[in-house]
Amino acid sequence: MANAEFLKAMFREYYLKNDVILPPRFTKREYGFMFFDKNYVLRHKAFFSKREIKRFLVSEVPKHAYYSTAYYSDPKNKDMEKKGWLGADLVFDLDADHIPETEGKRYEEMLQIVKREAEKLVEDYLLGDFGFDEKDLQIAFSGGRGYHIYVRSSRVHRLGSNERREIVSYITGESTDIFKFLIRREEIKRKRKRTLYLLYPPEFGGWYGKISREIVKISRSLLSLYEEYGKDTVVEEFNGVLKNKKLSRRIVGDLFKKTSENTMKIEHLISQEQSQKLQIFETDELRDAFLMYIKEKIRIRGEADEPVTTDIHRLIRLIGSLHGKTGFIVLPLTLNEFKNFNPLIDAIPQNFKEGESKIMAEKKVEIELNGENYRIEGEECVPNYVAVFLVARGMADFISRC
Amino acid sequence: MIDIELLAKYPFLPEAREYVASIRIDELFSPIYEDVRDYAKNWIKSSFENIHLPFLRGEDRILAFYTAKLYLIAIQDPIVIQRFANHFRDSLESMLLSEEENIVDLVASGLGIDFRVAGEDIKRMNLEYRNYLVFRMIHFIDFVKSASRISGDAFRLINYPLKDGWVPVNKETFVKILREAFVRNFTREIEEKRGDAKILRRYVGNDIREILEIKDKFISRYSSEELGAVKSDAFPPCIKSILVKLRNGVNLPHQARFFLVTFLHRIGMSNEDILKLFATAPDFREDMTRYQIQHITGKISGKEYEVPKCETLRAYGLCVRDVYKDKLCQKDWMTHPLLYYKLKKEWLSKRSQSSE
Repeated sequence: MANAEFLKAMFREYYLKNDVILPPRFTKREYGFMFFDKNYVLRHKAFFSKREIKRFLVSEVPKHAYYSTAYYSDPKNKDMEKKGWLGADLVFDLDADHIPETEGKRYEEMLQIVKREAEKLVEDYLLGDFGFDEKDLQIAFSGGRGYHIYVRSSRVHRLGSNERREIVSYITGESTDIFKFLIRREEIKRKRKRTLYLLYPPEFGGWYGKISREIVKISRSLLSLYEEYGKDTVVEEFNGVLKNKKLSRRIVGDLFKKTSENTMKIEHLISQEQSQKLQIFETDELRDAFLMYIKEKIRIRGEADEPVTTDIHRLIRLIGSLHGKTGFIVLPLTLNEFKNFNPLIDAIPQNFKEGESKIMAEKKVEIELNGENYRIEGEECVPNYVAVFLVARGMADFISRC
Repeated sequence: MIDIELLAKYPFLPEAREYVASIRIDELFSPIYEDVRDYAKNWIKSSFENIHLPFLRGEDRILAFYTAKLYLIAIQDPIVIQRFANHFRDSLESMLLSEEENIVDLVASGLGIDFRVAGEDIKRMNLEYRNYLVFRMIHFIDFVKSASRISGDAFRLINYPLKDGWVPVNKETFVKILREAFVRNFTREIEEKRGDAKILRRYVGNDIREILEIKDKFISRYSSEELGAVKSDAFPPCIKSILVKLRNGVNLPHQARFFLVTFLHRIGMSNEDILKLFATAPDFREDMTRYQIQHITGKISGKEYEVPKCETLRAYGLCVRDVYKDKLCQKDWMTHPLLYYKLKKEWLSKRSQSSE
């Protein structure tokens, strides 16, 4: 109980001093809340002024606050059919859960990996292939383990679920055979038939050119990984995606083997401006595994969350609210802010940086917050943001204020 | 100024509006326009029979299209609207395929499609590498709006070299996108004008009845192949209620038995399985029941009886719409138990797919 009261007090202070950021047409949205001291989910709430929302947040102090990505003619109506769907933002939810490389990683590293995924979505897909304007995009740190990316162009509002699914299939490359985007050529050599795959020119649109460009880019980063940390790290990198240690070792062995010209194969993948480069692999199996790795690196991983994009009635975290399981702000970010964003510093509310609380951690915890490392075991006075984070995550109990 | 024969071919274009703007509704429903109304009515009816009426020329076709639209606004029945839209869509597609580029562009603009002419480099590259003759570039949002309604690889966004939001497509695909855009715009317009239905119904009276009868006839002929495997979850409440009574040994009136047999037979249940259901009836006699089932299903008589529509069921007192308050039954356009079954079945399978 003390835990919930502590968090509630901290959250209330935050909501007193800060305003949430309301979405466009905020009176047409449905709002939903979860609380520290009640078990139900409050849904079908509507607000008609900013002050009304502020009052609600300060008096009820929700643990989690959500709003609908859709807007309705009657947002408080409980009957979905009578709500009167008018349109919805196009939303992408990227979460660490759906990216295999985050498995077993520390929170900080996890957030880094998800951030790269979000950058890829924004730059390669939304601004690149889809040609959206930067001003149509809104990025938000989810407060937890990911990012929400909104497209708020009038062009997308009326898209139905099936149409959104088409867009999701494009960015996730789901159930798509990567060989479709390669040029297939049958070759007969010494009476043996072999299928060769050639690359499309890099300037080609869609997945066709993307594969050629990404092979160069990804190979370059694999090479620098190799030069900086050695072979084993590269094997780990492959294994994180392919989940096959033996195969990963064989690919790395092949890619970093010196050829007759005293260069490594991977250098061919980086430098050669020609469509034949997939022929360097020792066997077709290694080539296919490498392509599989490339596909995973190109596509946006988020299948399990596909509903967020295709469910046109979905609720999503209110920007500027606090995440009840971390105490971080669901923070809005411009593209520029996003590039330099560090959630473990920038998403901490100002009022949590003032004052200290005594907490008790039964098991030893290590965490990096606000640029400092904390190692806590037993009872200890810590800055409030550390206390909130650990108590919210259930890793420590609140004892008293210091 | 667009040629009138061109507008007759594409009477949905905004430019066709000036031909109908000056005609008042009461004029249109006066004897002067009887031929136009007949054509419009038959046009809608023909969409259920898959026949193509002789092509009207000039202003008459523009007027007939407009009148058909008024009928559909008055009816507000999604099945009839969809049927007509699809029927028109098919002839639209074949006309567009044989048109010159400038006409296709004109229709595309009229349908509100965002498109542009492809640059030479894009045409050359697609031809060289994909063996693909690029006709136009469509903005990807307009592409998915239409393409998501069509199956096949040629309509999946991921298969296209998308760049800066533009999708290069060949003429066949472009025309199919236009075709679907027509259906979307047309059905939306009719739905949006549902507020006018009441006033229009004053004029169209009996003509509507004729159209709705064709629709019910069409639905009652749904074949068991179309309806797929028997799925009892999708049964309409009237059938479920009869089955419950039967299982509890309630003696059913003749009309209820007749309805049950025609329905179960039409959705593909075998006569043996139907017979088993009747075994719980208090007056069950196998030989009699078997004979009756065979009679109704056409095994003996050679005449296969049609499944009665909702209106008939109401007259027999078999409709339970007001008792069960089923949402689907409450819809104005729900006129036939087979329609209920088909839609519910589709809905159930969609739901089970998405929850997997």
